[in-house]
Amino acid sequence: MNSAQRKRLMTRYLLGDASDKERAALEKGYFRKRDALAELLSVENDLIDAFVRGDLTVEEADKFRDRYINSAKRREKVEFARLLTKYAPPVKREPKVATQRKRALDWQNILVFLRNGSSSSGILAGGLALGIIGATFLIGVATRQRHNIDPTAQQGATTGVDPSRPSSQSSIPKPVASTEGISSPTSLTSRNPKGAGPAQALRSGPPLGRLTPTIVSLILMPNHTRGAEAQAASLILSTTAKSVSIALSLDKVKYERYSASLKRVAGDPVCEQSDLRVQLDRHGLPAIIFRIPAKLLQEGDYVVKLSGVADTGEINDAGGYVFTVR
Amino acid sequence: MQKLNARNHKEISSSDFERLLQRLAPERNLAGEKYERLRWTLIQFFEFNSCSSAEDLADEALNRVARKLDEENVRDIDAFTWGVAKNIRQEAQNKTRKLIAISELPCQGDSLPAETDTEKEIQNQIDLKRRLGCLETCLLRLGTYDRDIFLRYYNPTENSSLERQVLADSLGLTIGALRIKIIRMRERLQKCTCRCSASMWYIPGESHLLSNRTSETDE
Repeated sequence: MNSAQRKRLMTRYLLGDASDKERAALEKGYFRKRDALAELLSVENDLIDAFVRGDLTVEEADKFRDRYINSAKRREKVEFARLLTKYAPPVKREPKVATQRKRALDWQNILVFLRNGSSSSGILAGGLALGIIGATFLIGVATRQRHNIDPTAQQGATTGVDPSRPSSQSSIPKPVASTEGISSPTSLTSRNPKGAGPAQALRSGPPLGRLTPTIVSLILMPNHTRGAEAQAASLILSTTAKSVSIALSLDKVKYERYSASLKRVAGDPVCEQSDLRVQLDRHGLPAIIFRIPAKLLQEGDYVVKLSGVADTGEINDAGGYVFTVR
Repeated sequence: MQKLNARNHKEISSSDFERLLQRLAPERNLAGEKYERLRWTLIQFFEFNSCSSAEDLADEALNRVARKLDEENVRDIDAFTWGVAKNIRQEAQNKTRKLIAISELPCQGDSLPAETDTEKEIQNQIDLKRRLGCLETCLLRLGTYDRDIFLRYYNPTENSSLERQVLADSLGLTIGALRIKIIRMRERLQKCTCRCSASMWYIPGESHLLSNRTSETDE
């Protein structure tokens, strides 16, 4: 039986069309061989994908609906396949796999060449070793020089922080978009990167690996009260927080698109973000959600001004939100 | 199912379990791996056969096999397990036939009035966007190497068996090993996306999750 015939048989098995004999043969096979089970599961995924793409015949699709989708687990599989078909990778990626393999092969070739030990290979091996030693030396010199001129490393030394420890929090402030690696189609522009200095020392805590909290969430309600009665939400930033997600809760969804600007109370604007769309917050309520790098925030009071963009392009006030960073 | 369990499911004794492991492989780690593989095969068997609670049935099958090893001289453990699984499938299907699915009732389970289409459509769009964001994030969690393999495997222009064989060759894997890798990845992605959609938010255009939790440690 060739591969195509096997695939057809497996499809019939999954749709409940296989004879008792065929079914027994398949089951016996996949209890014995792991590859046979993998093939069957692979055919199952292909069958589901074909169904959601509409590639099955009418008869097959009917059987699939009647016989296959008969459990919550299978419904989930179908839903996931539907999602996969709608997913389009952001960019066409180059086949990095092949590149990595090629690199590995290059190194293997060098090692094999050196191991074989022809007369010239000794010279080449020596040259390679010298090259590695030289490169190591140069990197060492460059690192020492960098420590000598890096003001944050000196600051770390005076505050008891190990300057050699890799910590993005103790680096010189950089433009917002590059520090967090955000590649958002929406525009996030920093207007005040200079104020990050004093807070940085407070935040240069020890790296805690994967368990380190890096995202702090904050839900803000519209600020209906004004003056002294206004109760601002508090945001306590941990030393390792890298970004803060802010959800601006909406009383009513009036616009399709919004823009938000964050500024210090009686101070300079910090950042703004446009082309924001309504999402659901964790309570399932409509909200505008955006994220900013934590290093933009220092202790003090902030206000977020939300604007709605009407169909005509007109920009209207959609509320204010206040919070305090402690 | 509960009746089936009540009748057949006795707690497996540690000696039976040890005997099963010993039978699968003399070395304990290898035996553990084989046990898990056998259990996975059983779960798939029951799912292929449309049995509900496949995991419970798989455990029941393993318990029965472990007990039988004390009573019978079992030559081929895989074939024997398959035989036990077929019996359990029969029992489970007999029980299922007595149940009536909600979809077979006269009102076909659609007892609630239909929501307004527009509202439903907007809700679906929001939901789809959120789930796609989750999928993107979960794909990122796979790591560059695995993600590339996954996307190449499911690239619509590279869907034929031949293309997949070429991909397997380029990775230095057999097609079977590649399939297992992809199946595992797909399962992980599905679980991750499902969990994410249920509990997290995302920012459109960004591949970062905004979680109720302050750290992302759930993988």
